[in-house]
Amino acid sequence: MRLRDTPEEAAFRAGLRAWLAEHVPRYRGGTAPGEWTKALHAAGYSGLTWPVAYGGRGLPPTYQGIYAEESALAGAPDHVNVIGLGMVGPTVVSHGTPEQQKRFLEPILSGEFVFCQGFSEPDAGSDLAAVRTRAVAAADGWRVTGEKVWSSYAHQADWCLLLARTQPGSTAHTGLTCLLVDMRSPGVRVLPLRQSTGDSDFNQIVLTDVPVPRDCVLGPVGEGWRIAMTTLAHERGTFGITLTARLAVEFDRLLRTVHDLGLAGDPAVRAEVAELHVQLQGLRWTGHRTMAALARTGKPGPESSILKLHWSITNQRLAAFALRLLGPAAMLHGPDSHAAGHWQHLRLRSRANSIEGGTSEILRGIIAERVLGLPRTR
Amino acid sequence: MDFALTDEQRDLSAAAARLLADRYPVERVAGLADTGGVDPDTWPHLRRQGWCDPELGMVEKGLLAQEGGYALAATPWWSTVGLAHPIHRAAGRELTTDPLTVAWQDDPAGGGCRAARHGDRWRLTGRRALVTDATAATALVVAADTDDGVALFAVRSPAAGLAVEAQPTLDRLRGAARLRLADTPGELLVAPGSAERVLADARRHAGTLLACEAVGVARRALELARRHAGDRVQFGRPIGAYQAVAHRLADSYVTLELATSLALRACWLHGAGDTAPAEVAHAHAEAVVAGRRAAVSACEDALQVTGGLGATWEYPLHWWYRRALWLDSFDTPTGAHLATLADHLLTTPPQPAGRPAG
Repeated sequence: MRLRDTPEEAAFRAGLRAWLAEHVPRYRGGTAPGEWTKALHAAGYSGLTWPVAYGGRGLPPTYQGIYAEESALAGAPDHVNVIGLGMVGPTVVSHGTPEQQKRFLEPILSGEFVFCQGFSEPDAGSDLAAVRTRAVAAADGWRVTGEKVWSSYAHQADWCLLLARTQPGSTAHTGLTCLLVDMRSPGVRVLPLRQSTGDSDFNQIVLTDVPVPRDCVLGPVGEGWRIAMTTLAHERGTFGITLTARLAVEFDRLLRTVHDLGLAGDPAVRAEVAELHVQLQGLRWTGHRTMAALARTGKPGPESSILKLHWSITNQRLAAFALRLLGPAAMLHGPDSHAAGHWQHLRLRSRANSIEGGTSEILRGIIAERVLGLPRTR
Repeated sequence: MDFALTDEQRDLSAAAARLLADRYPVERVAGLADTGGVDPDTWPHLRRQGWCDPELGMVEKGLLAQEGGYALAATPWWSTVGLAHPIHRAAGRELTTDPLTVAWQDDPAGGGCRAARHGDRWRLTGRRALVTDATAATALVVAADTDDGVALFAVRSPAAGLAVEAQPTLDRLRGAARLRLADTPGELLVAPGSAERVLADARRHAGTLLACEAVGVARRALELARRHAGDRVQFGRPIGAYQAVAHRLADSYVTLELATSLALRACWLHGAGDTAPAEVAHAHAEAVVAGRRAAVSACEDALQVTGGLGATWEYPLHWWYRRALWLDSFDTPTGAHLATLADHLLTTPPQPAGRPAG
């Protein structure tokens, strides 16, 4: 056990911090999709843990953890290719053919291919096994028809990692296949979804008889479930650390709000600030423990579910507390509001935290079954 | 950074768990609690397994404390190694493996403790209360006022003029006692001027180990509940198959994991040597707050899950609950720990895009 960076890690962190301080301001805001990825790639910060053979740097997961932490703390732009780099890439490394690896990995690293993910469906929600989008065999491959929902970045994506039912009449986890779909194919329509905040981070993807060539099947036909699970395991890899670091940024902002409102001496406020700090520290250090487990075993354990679960609870608690601090001024949301309505926005946005990326109920179920060994709930 | 146990640390933990599982089956824990909580037999086994070794690292001690909480081991190990050893070390004493404890808390009934000098000898008169494991200790460290401030003294037990009265306690496996001292001979360990700091350091050392013990208590409560939820059938299926039960235990597990991280981190920082004192103090406060919460809530969740059974005297869970409640009230209150953290966080406004505190 050693809770300090090694000299090599410290040097990497220092270099990264300096680079972020210089580059983040330039890329924050309205840059073209993939621009930030390109800048990262040029500086050598893409694919840190990917094998060298695929253009990565072959570093241990700790470095990805340092990257996740520092970039979030620096307020780096929301990474449009987070799905390509964090989820699709590692899945292609594990399950792709050599041709697919050659075709996709380098462009994902360089930011040339921005990816989105097409797993969820309107009627499936968290139940991925209820996927109804179907792929029908055709002469040159497959023809896909169906509807996907909650796809982040689909409006900016070049490619989509899609889960479709290739075996007619199959149910649940069987008969599914993972497909790499070119978003410029005929029959692909992307419809932005407007959230309760007014933002549009997510999209609906409507697919009508979309042609997918045979060489765009990822992994064996009919084993899409297993492939998708690899992808989702990677989603939880260092994402917990990113989330926690973003929460730390919000916490610092909360401290500033407490000062700005003249509430730093209020005993109730002080107690809640300290409670939130303990929650945040628990998340932060549990993230580092999960990272150590990942470094040793090569894959994140089911314990990583606790980071997502508890992050959503803490983020919601923080947002609710911040709004409470504002008092009646919390009713405003516009130029007259405190910090340009930041807390109002966070309060609305954070409600989705316990739903997106695996609902809290699903995550509790995973912990109960896989970690505690309790019988399956129904 | 590598926040994972080494193989040696895992081995130590496993060996300690085996020893305690052997010495403290649930029926024995209940039996000891029923009959007064004293177990004179286990101490030599702990000694042999190295629980009192002076070179034991802080993380290792934290792991032993976790196992102690898990098994609810009725031994004076914590008061000896956690509380008394750091003071003996600061006083330049050789560390013995005799059971020891430290008395510094005022008796709520009033009356402090004073030490008077007679030539090069000291004599102590007054009271100290809530002295953990005092009945088992062969020597005590007693904090007493002198004309120059608080000092720490070694007092043999038994000794002339010393009365050790056991007090009825909520946690029957970790008794409290009141000391009455009447002209009792004491030997100066730490002189006024440095005694307050030495005592504060010892309490922090011991408190960090209690955070680990709390994690062990929470782990055992969750384990009891988990087993019950898997075995107990209601309406045709194990109750653990119901979401209301499964999800409660999942939350209990989450709280436990977060507390484990903070407890181990506090141990590591405490033992690291190169850490700023403030960082150690804050990590300690975080670990204590999280550990207490985890222990109490894990026991309460487990009590709920075990239903009517859990509410009976015969079902052993309440012995762990009692320990959790002891941990929740021992020494510095949770509110004071939170105040320490708030002082640190809110003294100056943070810089924009600041980094989280250690």
